[in-house]
Amino acid sequence: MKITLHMRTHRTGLFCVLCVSFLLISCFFSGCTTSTAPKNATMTRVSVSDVIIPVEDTTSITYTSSMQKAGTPTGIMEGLVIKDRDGKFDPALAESWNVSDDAKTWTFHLAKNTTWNDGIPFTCADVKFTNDYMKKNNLTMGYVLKDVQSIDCPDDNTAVFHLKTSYSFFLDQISRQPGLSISPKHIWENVTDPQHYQDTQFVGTGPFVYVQTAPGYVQLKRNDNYYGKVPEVTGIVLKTISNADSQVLALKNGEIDVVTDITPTVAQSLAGEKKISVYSINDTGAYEVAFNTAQYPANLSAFRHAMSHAVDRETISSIFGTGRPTNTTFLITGLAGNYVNPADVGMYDYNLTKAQEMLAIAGFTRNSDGKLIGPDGKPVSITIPLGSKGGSGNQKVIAVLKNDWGSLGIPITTVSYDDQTQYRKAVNQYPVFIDAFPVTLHDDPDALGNFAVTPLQETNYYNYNNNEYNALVAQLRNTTDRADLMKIGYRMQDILAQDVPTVPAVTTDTLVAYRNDRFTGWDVGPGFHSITDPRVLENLTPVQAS
Amino acid sequence: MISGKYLLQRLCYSGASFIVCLTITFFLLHLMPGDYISNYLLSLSNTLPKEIVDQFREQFGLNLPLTQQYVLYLGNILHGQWGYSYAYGQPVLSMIFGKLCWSLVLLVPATILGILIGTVIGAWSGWKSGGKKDFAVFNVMIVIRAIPEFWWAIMAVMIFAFYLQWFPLGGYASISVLSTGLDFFDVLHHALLPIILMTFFIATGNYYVMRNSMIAVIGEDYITTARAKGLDERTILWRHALKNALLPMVTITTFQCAGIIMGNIFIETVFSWPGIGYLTTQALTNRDLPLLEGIFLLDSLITIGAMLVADILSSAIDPRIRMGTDE
Repeated sequence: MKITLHMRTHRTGLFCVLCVSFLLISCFFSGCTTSTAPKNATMTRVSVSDVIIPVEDTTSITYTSSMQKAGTPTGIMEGLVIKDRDGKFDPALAESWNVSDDAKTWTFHLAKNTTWNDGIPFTCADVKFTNDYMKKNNLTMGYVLKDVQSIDCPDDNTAVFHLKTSYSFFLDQISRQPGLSISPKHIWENVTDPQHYQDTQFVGTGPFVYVQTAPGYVQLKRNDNYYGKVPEVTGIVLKTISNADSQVLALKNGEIDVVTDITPTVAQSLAGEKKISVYSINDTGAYEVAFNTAQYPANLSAFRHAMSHAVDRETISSIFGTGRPTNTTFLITGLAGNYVNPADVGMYDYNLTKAQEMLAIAGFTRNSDGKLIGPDGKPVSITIPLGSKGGSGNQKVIAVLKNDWGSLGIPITTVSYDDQTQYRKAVNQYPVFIDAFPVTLHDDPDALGNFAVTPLQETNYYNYNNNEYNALVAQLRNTTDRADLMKIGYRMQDILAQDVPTVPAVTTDTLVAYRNDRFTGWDVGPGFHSITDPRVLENLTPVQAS
Repeated sequence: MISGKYLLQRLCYSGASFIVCLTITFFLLHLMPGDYISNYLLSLSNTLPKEIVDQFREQFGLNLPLTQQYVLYLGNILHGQWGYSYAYGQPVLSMIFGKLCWSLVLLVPATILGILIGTVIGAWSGWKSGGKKDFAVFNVMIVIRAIPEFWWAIMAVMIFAFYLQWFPLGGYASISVLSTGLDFFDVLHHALLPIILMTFFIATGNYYVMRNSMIAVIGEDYITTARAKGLDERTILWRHALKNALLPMVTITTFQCAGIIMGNIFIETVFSWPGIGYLTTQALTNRDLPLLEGIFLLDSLITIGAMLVADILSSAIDPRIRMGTDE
C-alpha cells in the first residue's frame, strides 16, 4: 500500500514537471512570437507554384537592407545592369547606356514606366538619391560607388554618372555581386538614422515583392507589374535549414525544391533519384598558388618560375571532383573568353624534372638528406597561411603540393587563420599562399588590376610591382574600345607569365540538385552565378504549368 | 539562514564580479585579432578601401584609445545602453532576446527534465551500486555520454525525422506558419525531438554526480539507523538518503540553469533552430563586438545571479549551513 502511494507520488511529480515544462515552452513561445512576428500584418497562403529555397538563417536577410549591406532577399532590389557569365551586360533598371570617350561619363537610359512595388514611379531621382544618401551617411555599401563624383538627372529617365577618374570597367563594378542596388528615395529620405534603421517593407523594383517574415521563413511573391519578364513561379519561400545534410534530406522529402553547393559525393548519391536532377554551374570558384614576391625565396623570379612547373593541376582538379585545371596566367577561360591571351595558355605545364633543373640553374642544391638548399646556404622550407575563404579546398591543394614540393626537397607546413584580416596580414609575412576567389574577380582584363600598384591601390596581395604593368592598368581604365582592351590585356598577361606572381591551379563548379517534379528551368538560360540569381528565378516554370 | 548583512555583502561582491567580467570581456574581445569591417569588405572583394574602413572606425568610436572606449562602454552599460550590432545594425539586447527565446523553448524543458531524470536515475543507481541493474544503467549512460551530441542529433534526424517521419526535419515551425501564423502544437512538434535528445544528454551528466553522491551517502550512520528503525528501503532512499545526496547537485544544477543562456550550437545547427548559440557563433565569425559583448555580459549576469541563488538554496536545504550568522 505504501509502495503504491510512493509510486503515485512520483508519477504525480513527473506529471507536474511535464506540466511545468509545457507551461514554460508556452511562455517562451509567446515571447518568441512577439519578437519575430511578421512585420506585415497580412498572411499569404503558400502556393504550390512557390519555389522553396533553403537558407542557413534568415536573420541577416531580414535585419539589413541593400542600402546598408548586401543581403536583401533576392529578386526584390535591382541595379542598373546585370552581368551574365558570358561577360555580357544585361539591362535591368537601365535599358541602355553609353560612355564618353575618356570613360569618365556614363549615361544610363532608365527603363520607362517602371514603378516601385508600392506604386510610386521609379525615376533618376532615386538613382541620384542612392548615391548621395550612401555617401552622406557613410554607409558601407557606398564603397561600390567610390569612383562616382556625382550623378545628374537631365530628365526622369536619364542618369548621368560623372566619375572621379576614367574607368572603362565601371559597369563591371556596379553589376558585380553585391553591386549597386537602387533604393527608393520616397522611403529612405525619411530615415534619419540609416545605420540602425530596420527595413520592414523592402520596397523594390524587382521581379519579386516582399510579403512577410515568420519564424524560420521569409516569403516573397511575384511582382505582376514587373517591367521585365514576369516570373512563372508565383513566389519564393526562403526556409531556414542550417545544416547541409538536412537540406539534402529535405530535398528528398520534397520539403524544399533546390539545394546548392552539394558535394560531388552527395551529387552522386542523388543520381538515382527519379524526382531529383543535378546540374553544375561551371567555374564559380577558383584556387591559385600565389607568391609573395617580397619574401624569400618567392622574391626570386627563378624560384617562382621553377615552382610554376610543380603545381599538378590535373591531380588537384581530380581531388576536387568538380571543375577543371586552369592553364592560363590568371583569367579563367570559361568566363573571360577571348580576353585570355592564347600565347600564354599552358605556360605553367606540370613537369617536376623541369622544375628541379630550373632550381639547380638558379643556385638551389640538394643536401644528402634530399633537402633543398637555397642560394643562401640554408634549407628551404615553406609555411603556407590558409584563410577561411577556401574552406576544405585549401587542404586539397596543399595535399598535392606537399607531395610534389616534398619530392623537390621543400617541406611544407601550414598555418590556418579563421579571420580574414589576420589572414591578410599573414599573407604579407610568408612567401607562398593559397588564394581562393570567386571567379567574378577573374573574368575580364579589369581583374588583372589585382597585380597593380596605383594611387588607388598602394599595394597588392602579391607585393608585386612592375612599372610597365602599372602603366598598362592605368591605360586600361581609360580605354573603351574592346580591341584595344584585348591588346592591353594580352600584354599584361605576357608580363604575368614573365614574372609569375601567381600560378592559377583549378576552377571549381557549384553543384545544384533540384526537384524536377516541381520545377523546370533551373539549368537553362545564360548561366548566372547562383540559384537565387533573379534571372535564374525568372526562368523557372512550375511543372504543373509547363 | 542567510543574514541580511551577509546578503548585502554578497550582492556587493556580485556587483564587483560583474564589473570585473565586463572589463575582462571588453578587453579580451577588443584584443582579439581581426575586425568586422575588414572581414566584411574582404568577403566581397580583394581590395580593402582604407577610407571606408576609417569611416567605419570613426562611426563606432574604434579610432579612440582603448581605455577611452572602455570608459564610454562602461558608462553606456550602466545606463542600460548595450549598443548596436555591427553586422545587423539592430539593438544588441533585442537581437539577443529575439534568439534567446527560441533557445529557451528547447533548453528550459530539456534542462529541467534532464536534471530530474538524471537525479532520480542517479540516486536509484547509486542506491543499487554494485548490482546488475546499476552496472547496466551505468554502462548505458557511459555509451550515451561517450558519443558526441551532434552524432546523436544527426542519427535522430535520420531515423525519426527522415525515415520514420515522426518528427519534422528541423526548423521552428511548418510552412503553414506563413498562412495561419504560429501554432503552439506545431512548434511543440518541431521542438520535441531536440528536447528529448538534449534531455538525455543533460540527464547523463547529472546521473554521474548524483550516483557518486548517493554512494557517499549510503554508508552514513543515519542510513543504518533508519534501517534499524525498520523503515522500508524506498522510504530510506527517497526520504533520507536522497535529501542529503542532493546537496552537491544544487550548485551544479544552478550553474546548468545559468548555462542555458549560451544555447547549444550543435543542436541548433542540426535541427535548424537558430538560437543564441548560433547567434554567438555568427557574431564571433563576423567579429561583431557589441553583439558578442552583449551575449557574454548577459551570461555573466545570469551566472553571478545563479551563484547567489545557489548560496541561498544551499542554506535552505541544509539547516547546518548558516552563512553570515554569528552561530
